[in-house]
Amino acid sequence: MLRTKAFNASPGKMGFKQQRRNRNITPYMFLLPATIAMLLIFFYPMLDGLYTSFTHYNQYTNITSFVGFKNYASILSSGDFWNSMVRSVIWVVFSVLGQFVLGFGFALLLNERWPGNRLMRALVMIPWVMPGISVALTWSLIFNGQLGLLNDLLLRWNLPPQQWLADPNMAMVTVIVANIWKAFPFVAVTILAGLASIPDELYDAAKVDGASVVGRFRHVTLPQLRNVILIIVLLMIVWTFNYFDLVYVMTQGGPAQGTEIAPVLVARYAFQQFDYGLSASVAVVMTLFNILFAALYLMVLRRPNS
Amino acid sequence: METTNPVKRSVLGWIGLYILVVIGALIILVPIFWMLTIALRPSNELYITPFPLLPPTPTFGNFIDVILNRTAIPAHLEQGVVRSLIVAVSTTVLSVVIASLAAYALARFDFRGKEPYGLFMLVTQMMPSILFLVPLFEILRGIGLVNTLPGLILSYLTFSLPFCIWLLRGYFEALSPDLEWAAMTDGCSRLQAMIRITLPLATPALVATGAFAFINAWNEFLFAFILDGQQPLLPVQLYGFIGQYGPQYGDLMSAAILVALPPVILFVVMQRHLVRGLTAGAVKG
Repeated sequence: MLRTKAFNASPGKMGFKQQRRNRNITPYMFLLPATIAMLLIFFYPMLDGLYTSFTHYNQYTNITSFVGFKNYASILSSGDFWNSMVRSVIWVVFSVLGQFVLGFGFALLLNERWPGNRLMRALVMIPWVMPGISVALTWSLIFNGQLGLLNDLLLRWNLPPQQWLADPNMAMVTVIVANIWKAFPFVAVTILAGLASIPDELYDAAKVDGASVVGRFRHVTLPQLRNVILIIVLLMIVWTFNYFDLVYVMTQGGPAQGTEIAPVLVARYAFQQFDYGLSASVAVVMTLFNILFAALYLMVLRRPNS
Repeated sequence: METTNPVKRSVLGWIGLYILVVIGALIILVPIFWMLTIALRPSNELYITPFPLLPPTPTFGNFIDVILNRTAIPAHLEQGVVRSLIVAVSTTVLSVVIASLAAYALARFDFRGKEPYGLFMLVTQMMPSILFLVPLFEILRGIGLVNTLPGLILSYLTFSLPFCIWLLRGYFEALSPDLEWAAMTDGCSRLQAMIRITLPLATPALVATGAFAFINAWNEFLFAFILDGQQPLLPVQLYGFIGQYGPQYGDLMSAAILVALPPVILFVVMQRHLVRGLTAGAVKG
């Protein structure tokens, strides 16, 4: 993304920038406050977290000792950790799939011209700007066993009601549905902005060549949206993998660890077992996973275009 | 963001379109409707079977009870509102001020380390916030800021600052530097040129960026829950109600709606600016 920006810059602008490149300290002065803040509240905690993952804290003696890779060895052989990874993969794959399909559908719909379009554009973002905890409570009540909307509908259609949040697999379905509803608007508005940036001439040319609606979608819309789709899917995957609030409020990782995704496991290790070393090592593995995934993803998927 | 497709459409096309519109509207509105229908009914109408979809005797009683602390255990949202406002506004102001300086440097200068710095702002958005929780707790405890609002504001900058730098950099790059250049030939310093020329031109961008920082800080739950549990912000208070109220779902939903109102209203008022700002980064890439 950053590289293409440099290519797109106009020659005039480049000249302006080049002129200023005389070992000037001015840019560093502008960056100073942000850099100091980031060193204190980002770098330092990050390194501290990394260090913590190599230590063990004994809550009875209140002594922290260096234990090398012991925490990593123990999470790699623990059922908790692998369970959380499997749960995270299910959580991410189905959440992002749902967000993407629903968001893309909304974008195509909002890109058409129809009365009421403007109102819908305002409404669609409401789930995204609502606090995660309000969303979590709402969906808990929709899936509630006693006064839930879903069981009410099932009863009206003479189907047996379900204990949605009491069954490990059903609970996973409920948190994924809630997460799709919360985050699909971001996909919708981003794809919509991408659609708006496709020049009309491309569609006109395709029409002249006799392309059908489906043909135009496949050969004009999708290739033109390629970069937007790549970035949005990457962002959604990483954000979903890290997202804590919704699952924690709806299920606390239960029942029977059925929804214990990685960040919820990190929180349990840290704040219920007070095993900060173990907790930090899971968080570090999550971070490495994110960075590796992002790097691989961009490398593999960006290549054919450049 | 004007739509571009031709409006020629057959009757069948219109019907199909509006079927999709109705389905879309239902997807967005049904959960919101469910919040309202539970919040707006007295508690004795919660367990009627079959459940009447609309409250038989709609009332704002639950809202009034929650606001005036007339629930079984008082909610004290009025305290949470003040704290949430202090934290969200301070985070927003600090982030936007510090970020606009940094974003300006990234947009206007060519210097050693610029690309890594910009890339790092992006990488920060991929870090799981939970990695920072225990370290931030220890740091805040070390400087005596655990369970204080300033401590929480500091920890919110961890994610708010790089996010604002990333957004503002894109805006500043889109502004022509010619006017600043002219101001500087007239004797302004860099900083003066930025403050007098660039920032006024970028006001919509600063407001949009600030709105995002505000909404994120207002909605944040994890840090507020762990780092400032003794002075709960609104989302943490709301989380506390779940256990306290048990089946008092009307009160719970009323509180959930009250907490969600400020960001939703802020967004609806500023909708056009915000959507453009949010999507610019991804679309430009």
